Amino acid sequence: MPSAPAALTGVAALTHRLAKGDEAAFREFHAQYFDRLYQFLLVVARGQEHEAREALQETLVRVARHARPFDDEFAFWCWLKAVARNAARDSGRKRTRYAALMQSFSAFSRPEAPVAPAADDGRLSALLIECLVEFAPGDRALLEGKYLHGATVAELAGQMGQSIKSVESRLVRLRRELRESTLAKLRQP
Amino acid sequence: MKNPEHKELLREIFCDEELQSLREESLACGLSTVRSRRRNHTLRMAALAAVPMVVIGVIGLRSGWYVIPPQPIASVTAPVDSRLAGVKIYPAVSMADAPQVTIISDEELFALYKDQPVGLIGEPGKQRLVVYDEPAVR
Repeated sequence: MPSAPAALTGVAALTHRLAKGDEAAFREFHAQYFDRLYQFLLVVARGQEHEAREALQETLVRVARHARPFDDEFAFWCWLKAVARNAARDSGRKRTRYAALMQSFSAFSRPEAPVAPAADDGRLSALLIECLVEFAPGDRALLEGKYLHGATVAELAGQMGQSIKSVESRLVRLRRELRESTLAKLRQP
Repeated sequence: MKNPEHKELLREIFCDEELQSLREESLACGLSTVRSRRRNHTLRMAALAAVPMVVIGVIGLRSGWYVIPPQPIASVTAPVDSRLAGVKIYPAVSMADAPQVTIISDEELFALYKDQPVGLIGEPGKQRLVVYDEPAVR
């Protein structure tokens, strides 16, 4: 497979290789952008995880099919966001058609989750912090210590006078709660 | 923009093991799309490269470049007449190949070569016109 010109680095090199159909470049892109795109699509789909996953799958296929070279990361990310929004919208349309079809056979129909018109990838982060602030001070301190200050579980256990295992299980529970409360905020109209 | 700590927390919270199957499935699907894109690109390039050759071929057919001039028969096993030795003999052109052919009689043919010694040789219907380079020996 031809490699990108030597002068190109970072996103420019990656996108040049993607545009040429380089499989290694797609693996690299997938590893770098999968999580970020999923988080963006969670916001676009207003916290509907199933819809976000469906849109993510479609987004990645579209990137593989239509990738083109970009000179900088910002332009590439803007393009990715546009592709992701379109994929989410198209998935929504499919679901609407399917729901209409199902409605003709039965009274049941599931309303389509509205797509946030100007969803921004920073919104999820903002909501997360908003939810974190609402946690009890001890829980918040634990989460902040682990994820914002980079403390290890052993260090936190030492500070709190608890066993490592109990701190780990507490972190699992707190993460789940934080996830649910963030998704609930995203689902609010 | 997210700071790195938030990024880590977001990843821990939203991108857990549940997402692993989607991660693998989407990678496989994407790679297959990349392969098919590359294959289509190769086919398109080959088709593009073939276009000028097809165009040249079509132009050649239309302008008649393809018509091969009649070649003299390589060897005549037994000259009909010793005086014909060294005379180039061309194969008769098929009537079907000639779009406009006026049929003339032997006399009319000889009249066209008034000042040249010519002769018709062969069986009637398969005769060949022979033009002598040297004056006929009488």
